[in-house]
Amino acid sequence: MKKSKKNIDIGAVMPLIIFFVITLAAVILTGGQVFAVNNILNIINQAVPYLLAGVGMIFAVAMGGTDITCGSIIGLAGTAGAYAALNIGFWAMFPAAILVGAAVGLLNGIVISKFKVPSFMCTLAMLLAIRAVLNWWLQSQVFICNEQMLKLDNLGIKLLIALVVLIIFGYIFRFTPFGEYTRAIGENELAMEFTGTSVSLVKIVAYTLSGLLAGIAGIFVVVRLGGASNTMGAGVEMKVMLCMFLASIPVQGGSGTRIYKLIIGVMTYFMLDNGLTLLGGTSNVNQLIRGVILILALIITRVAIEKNEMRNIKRAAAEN
Amino acid sequence: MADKVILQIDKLNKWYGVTHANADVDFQLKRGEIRGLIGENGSGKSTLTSQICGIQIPTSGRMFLNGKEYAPKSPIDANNCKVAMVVQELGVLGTLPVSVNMFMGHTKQFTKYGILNVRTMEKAASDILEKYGFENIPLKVLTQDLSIEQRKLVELVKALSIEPDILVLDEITQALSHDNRQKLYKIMSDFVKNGHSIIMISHDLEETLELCDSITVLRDGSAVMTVEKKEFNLDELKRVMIGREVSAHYYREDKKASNSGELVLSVKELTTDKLQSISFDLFRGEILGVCGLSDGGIHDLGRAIYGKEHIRSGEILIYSKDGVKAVKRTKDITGNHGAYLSKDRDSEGLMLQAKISTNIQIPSLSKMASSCWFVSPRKLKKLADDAKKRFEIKCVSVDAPVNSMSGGNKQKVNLSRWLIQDLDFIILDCPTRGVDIGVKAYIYNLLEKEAKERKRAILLISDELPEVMGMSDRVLIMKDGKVSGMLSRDEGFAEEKIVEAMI
Repeated sequence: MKKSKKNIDIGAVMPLIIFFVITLAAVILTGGQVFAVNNILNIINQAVPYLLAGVGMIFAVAMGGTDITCGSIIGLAGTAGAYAALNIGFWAMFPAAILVGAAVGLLNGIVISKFKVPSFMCTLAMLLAIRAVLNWWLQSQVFICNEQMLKLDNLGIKLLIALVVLIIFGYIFRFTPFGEYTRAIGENELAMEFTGTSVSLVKIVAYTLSGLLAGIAGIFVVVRLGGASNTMGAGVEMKVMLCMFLASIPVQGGSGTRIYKLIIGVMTYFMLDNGLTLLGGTSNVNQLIRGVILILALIITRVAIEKNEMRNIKRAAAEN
Repeated sequence: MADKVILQIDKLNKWYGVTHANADVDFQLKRGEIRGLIGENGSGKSTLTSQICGIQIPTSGRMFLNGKEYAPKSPIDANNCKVAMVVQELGVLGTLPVSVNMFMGHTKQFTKYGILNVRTMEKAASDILEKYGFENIPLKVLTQDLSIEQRKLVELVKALSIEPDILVLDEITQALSHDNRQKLYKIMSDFVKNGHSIIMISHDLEETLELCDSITVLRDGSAVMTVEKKEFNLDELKRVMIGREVSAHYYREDKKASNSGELVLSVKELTTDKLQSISFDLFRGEILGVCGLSDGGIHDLGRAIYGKEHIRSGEILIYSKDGVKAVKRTKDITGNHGAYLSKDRDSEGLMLQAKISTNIQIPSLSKMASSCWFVSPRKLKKLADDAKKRFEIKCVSVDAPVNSMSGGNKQKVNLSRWLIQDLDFIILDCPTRGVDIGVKAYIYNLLEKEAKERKRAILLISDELPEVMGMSDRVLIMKDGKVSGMLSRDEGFAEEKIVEAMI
């Protein structure tokens, strides 16, 4: 009995504690305003694109890589979606955005797996390149969402789609060989190659899925904004990464990578963001406070994990 | 007598958390003595030596060096007291050149005004390497570009370079080729002639018996017995080590080669950078041993068949119930009832931080997926639990990380994850490396069963000659990347004959 007590996964518990502390603080300081129905809906509304992009990124992160192209993919896919909806027809919006996202992801996957370019470098370069393509496209053209498109900016639809996506990709990540392979690559890529599995193929599929999901997120971002803009999605990639860190998803990937952790991380971030906004204060001050709190949260988590690891190492050494 | 004792240890205790890694160890080392430490994995050998060398601090107990109290706080401390060690895991920094590694922690002698004179240091390093006969090790390259064997030798020379009174060698020989072992033995005997002492740990009992003047057996953290050379008795030592009778059945007992005559794998004129037109056939139900010097191409052969080396010419054919398939890459082996076990278990085999269950499941995942690629967690759990039971893997739960187990049990996991599959043949590269004697016996027994009862074909690559001779139906001997001989069990393997073909 004692043993199982010791084996609590601190990495999974700490983010939850931090989430509750931040929520509690927000509730107390705002006098309960954060829990107003409208506000909760607002938080969820803001969080959905980040959640979608995060679920995509998690496949890359599980492999010990990263995919920070999502910010630009959101911009380009959103714009492509708007273009298709306005020029071809409303329903063309979805395949257009998804295909653009998946295509960029596929390109990432090929460069990373076939040419052995580290994923951070490749997706960073792609982030800049895709943003440039978007700038060039929007220089000459303006896309304003029509009414039918704006109807998509509806919390019910968003939640439904987000839920469906979460379930499908959660399933893929958790219950299919492919999902297991991504985590196994994070554990030991070389050993994975020695099992006869095509690591390249897994990587290509993973980055394609990541791009595809960023594409879906792009649809929501563009309809919320009401039109295509060249700053659309900028910075999303870093915030998603921050959410992952908050959720103590291991940077080196592997079996500790879990989608529920990501959800906790995203909710923590937006609870904090929202609480600070409700409290008023200038945005500069808020950003500073937000930064300080996030750093503190990360330090606390890190220390807790480290202590736990030390204990585990000692125990493992003892068992040998 | 008392002045001959160089190291005296009284009631040494080391606790790791709740585990008593060393329990009341008393130990005496004489000048000019080679002392062997033997014991199963986890018996406390490395714990004991790492305390002698200042890597670990004892929980309680005292040590005396030359009659004076000795309590090293760090390996440098120990070095200053003329105690040096070659550790089991690699103790060199891969990203630094050999010469720097050689004098790591002792670079002051080459430093003037805070500036390191690289040239004199390199000169000193090359002098030392030459002195011990390893001048073929390059000095200026990064240590990570050396082979494991060369790195071990660098460590050895580094330890010798401080001219220690006591040298501790933890599992050094298993990384060395035949030639370099001979050199090591020579170095060791010269070393002790000057009145210095050696403590060595080895899993190779025959070697330990041959080299050591006395042997201390550790079991469950305690030193249970120390014997002098004239009283050495292999069976007795084995019994004391394990604490029970070892089954007489260690290797195969039958003297006849057999196979079912059904071809499983055929290698034709295989040529790579390291191999020159290797040809052989592997039949169902036989163990084909492959032996040779470490650099003779035996490991490359396994890798090449498994699609991990660039093949210049020749072909590899698999004969299974699905027909004949030519092997182009790794997948062609795993997809056609074949498997391979790398000799480098921890980097090319297991995922050390991951669960035992995950490690067992990974190779079978794609074969277990049902419609919608669904893999049932319940079936997966059962797969792992069954493997644990069938292969007697000792662990609290299959959810524990692989790293929490001993080397022998790790190897069981590594083997089990392939053997649970529907295999026709398996290529094993040094399957008993770094494995304690209990598990070793288990693996030999298992291999015999797999070949003779389940009629699988086994390609057993090993640099341990007794193992190959003990287990194989036929032995393929390699030299310089070529086949230099093929012997059958029927003729009885003569060691001289094999060695002659190897060298």
